Amino acid sequence: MLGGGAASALWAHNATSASAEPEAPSEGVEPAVAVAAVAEIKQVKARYFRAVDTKDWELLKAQLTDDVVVDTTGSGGPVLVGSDAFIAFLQLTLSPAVTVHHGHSPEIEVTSPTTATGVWAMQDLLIFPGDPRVLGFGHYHETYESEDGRWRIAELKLTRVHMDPIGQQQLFGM
Amino acid sequence: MDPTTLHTVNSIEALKARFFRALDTKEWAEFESTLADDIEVDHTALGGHQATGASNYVALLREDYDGTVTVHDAHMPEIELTAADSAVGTWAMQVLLVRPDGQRVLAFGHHQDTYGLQDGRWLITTSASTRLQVDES
Repeated sequence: MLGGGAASALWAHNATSASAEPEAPSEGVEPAVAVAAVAEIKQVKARYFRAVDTKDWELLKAQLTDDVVVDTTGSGGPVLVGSDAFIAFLQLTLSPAVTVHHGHSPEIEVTSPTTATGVWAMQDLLIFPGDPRVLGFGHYHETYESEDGRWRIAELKLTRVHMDPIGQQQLFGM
Repeated sequence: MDPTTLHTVNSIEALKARFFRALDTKEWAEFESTLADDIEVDHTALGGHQATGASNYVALLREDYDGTVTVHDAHMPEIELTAADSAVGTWAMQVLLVRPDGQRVLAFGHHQDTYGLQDGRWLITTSASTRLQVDES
């Protein structure tokens, strides 16, 4: 997957995204509770990605705990503590860019009625002013907490598998 | 989320998956079976079409996409029931069009849908698009 340029890497990655999502059942949590939690956590992450891409910072904040810990060292960034600090960091670094984040193949484990872990495969396209672009692949490693019946992301760590600096002409053989 | 709601969400996700698969494989009868008769569609923000009515929409697609390869990849659905027989949904989208002359469009954005339960089947009642990025060769 890492050879052959951005186009083949992108297609290979997308080919696996349609496969079933492995969801590890958790001991001590009723199946109905676990299944509902997984469904809700998937939506939390979906809203997270959509909020980042549409720069809807209030929507993003609502998916995070107030004291969320975000580790961006895999992308050369810092560890941030707190949703306000993380959002300020995103505003600083991503405001000038068009971003497209797609998450795939979640592995979500419900560890108690109010806690869960998850891993997502992720593809992100970042387009900066003047059109330098980066197409990235990696994984989000996360923990989630439920409070007052709502799930939020409590910890977030992004690891990178590959980052491809590309021009528009190379994307999908354009 | 109770099991009945979860089951409905799964049904709607499968409905939208069928919409995209039938669109991309040009299986027009199966495609039309996912649409409400009076569907309102506007996908112009992602290189698609605007139409009212399922038969009008399908006719427009058949004509414009004849000989065009389309690949619609939808991710991360957010489906919510608004009543026992209606729902809304948002999908993150990646759309690739390859025209007969080789011209390409690559579009990223979101689909915003409404769904309705009619005669025991879930159908798409409206679908609109918002855009993040569109590249054309």
